[in-house]
Amino acid sequence: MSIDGIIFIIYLSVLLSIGLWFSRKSSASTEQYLLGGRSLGPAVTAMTMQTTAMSGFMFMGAPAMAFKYGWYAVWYAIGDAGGSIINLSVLGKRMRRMSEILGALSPIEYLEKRFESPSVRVVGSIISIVFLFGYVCAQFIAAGKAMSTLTGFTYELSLIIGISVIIIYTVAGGYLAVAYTSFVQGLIMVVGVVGIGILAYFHVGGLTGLNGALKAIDPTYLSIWGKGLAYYGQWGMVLGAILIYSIGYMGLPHVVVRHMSMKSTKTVKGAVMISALWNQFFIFVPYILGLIGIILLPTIADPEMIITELAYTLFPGIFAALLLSAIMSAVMSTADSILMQAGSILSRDVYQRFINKNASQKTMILVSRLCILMGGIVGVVVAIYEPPSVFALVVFAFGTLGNAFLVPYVSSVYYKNANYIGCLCAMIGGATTNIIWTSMALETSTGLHPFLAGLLVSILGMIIGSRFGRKPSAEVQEAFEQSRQKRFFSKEFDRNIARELAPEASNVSKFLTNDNYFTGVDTYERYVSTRN
Amino acid sequence: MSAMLVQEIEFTEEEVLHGLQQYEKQTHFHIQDVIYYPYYFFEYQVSAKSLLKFKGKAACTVDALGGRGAMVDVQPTFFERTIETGRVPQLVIAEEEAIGIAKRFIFDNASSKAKFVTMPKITEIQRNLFYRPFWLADFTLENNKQGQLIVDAISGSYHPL
Repeated sequence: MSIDGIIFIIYLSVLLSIGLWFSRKSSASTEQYLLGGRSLGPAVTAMTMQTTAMSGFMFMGAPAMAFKYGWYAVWYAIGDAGGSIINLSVLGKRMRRMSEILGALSPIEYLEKRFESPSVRVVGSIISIVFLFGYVCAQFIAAGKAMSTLTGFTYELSLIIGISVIIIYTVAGGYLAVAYTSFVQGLIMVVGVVGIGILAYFHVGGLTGLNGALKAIDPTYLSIWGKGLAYYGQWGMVLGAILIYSIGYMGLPHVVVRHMSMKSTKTVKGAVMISALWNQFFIFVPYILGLIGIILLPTIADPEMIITELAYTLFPGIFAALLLSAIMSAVMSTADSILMQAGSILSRDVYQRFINKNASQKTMILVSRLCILMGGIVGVVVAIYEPPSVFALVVFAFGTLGNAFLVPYVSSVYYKNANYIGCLCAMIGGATTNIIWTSMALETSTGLHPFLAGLLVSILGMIIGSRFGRKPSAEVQEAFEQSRQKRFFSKEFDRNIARELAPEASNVSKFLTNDNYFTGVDTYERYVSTRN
Repeated sequence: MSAMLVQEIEFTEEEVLHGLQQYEKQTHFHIQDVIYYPYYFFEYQVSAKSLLKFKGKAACTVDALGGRGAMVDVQPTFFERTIETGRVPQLVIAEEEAIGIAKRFIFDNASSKAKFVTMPKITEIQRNLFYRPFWLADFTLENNKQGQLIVDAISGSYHPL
């Protein structure tokens, strides 16, 4: 085994020890609860959130895209960076108001309540699984490549070893261990990526030097239409590239776990701030590194390895290996979290709902773990025999999500008569079109990005579908009207509204209209007497 | 009237008004009342076989009006108080129902977060019905529009009604 491989093993052992040491220390105190996880402090919480979000796409897919297309690739980054802005400003206001009125906490729960049908949640969950699967495959491929560089083994063997090692490592560590190790990993990655970024940036003479050198190689690298003007005049492609992330995020199958802090605490806001700043910064860096790769590594065999190669070129070997180890384990940590999520969605929303309504918790966990195992095996097989590029997979996955969810979200607040049939047609039609368009490569013959094609079908599905089935209830129509009213608070006040209190606010409203002020004391007395 | 288990108010009426006024200078806020919102509190011992043995405590609350679960971060302190001012809503979720909700909630959270390979063993250690204070505030905007919001008296977070 190469020296890099040995560094990787030492790295994992050290991290695992750190994680376990902290876990023991934390669980020794009876004051804090293990699964609440909020007692970790803002820095650890933020880093944990981020290392889970950091994926193989960021380190491999994005630079490869920039290497292939030049500045055109930055359209994707713009959509990615602007995603949250679009969510908040365009759709956000009405949607937020509506979800407050309906008392919904997660995007999928919102759709289920707005369209008044549990089938919306089931179909949404199944589409999310397609996305999760594509995303996991991308992580596997990235992990295999990183591991292969570290150990010198073949890609296939590296893939299997890498996946086994990291799954054992994360399962062994438990939640707290993972939280603390993520913190250390996060730090290594920040130092590493920022270091590579700065060194490489000055190496090519800043932005002016970069553009000058790109122009000398091929002026079309600077074009907004892609290298060789591949997408010249095709606004459909550009629009698709921008929209794909902005909208795709809204369909992510968030499993929102509510937290209630038992002491007055101000740490949580800090965590959100740190990760928001981090996000904006890290979205663009991998793309810029891809552009730098065109100049510094013009003959690289696999453009997905640009960051790795740059690390070995610019840093001493040991640090490069350390950085790669951190990337590799972050990638796998993302993959296994996603698999866990997919497993619980499948067991709860599909197995329990359709196959075995009275499934015990023991059965549920077995089904969930079996789904994970099967997903993992299929993922490995795909990653070995048909490895698509990490970027293509991620774009496909996000595209499917975006096509399924964009139209239902927009219609939920702008189309009063939109009902569950319309929503189901839009979700299924949009996602299916994207899958067909991508797999048959129809964009070359039509000049239409798969995302845009899916969008058109989804709109049609919503309009036609909403003509059938029952109309939205009076309650939903009332919520629709209320959400149209302008919010009157200042921006800052509005931003700080605690969304997780939406269910409480909705219950208090009902309670106040009933006008039964002190009756609760009687029910409390009854409760106490039955317990005694 | 019997004494009830409550959490102590951490953000006083003045502090809440000051906080709200900070962002909304043109709006007039007025604290109307305090609402004691009912929650069930559950504390569990969670143990599971992973590659290493996992043992720890976990706790959650269940909203006694809507039945929604929430994870809890640290051991809460409850006080026995006789509520003389303020409003207390009637319970909507019965204790039996809350027990089921809490168990499912903690189980789902434990199995996805702690990454167990086998079924975790979850044993209840403690269960209580407690009341969390929320300030009920009225507000009048510059254009004389009126509305209400609730402010969590423990965390200071707020939400319009």
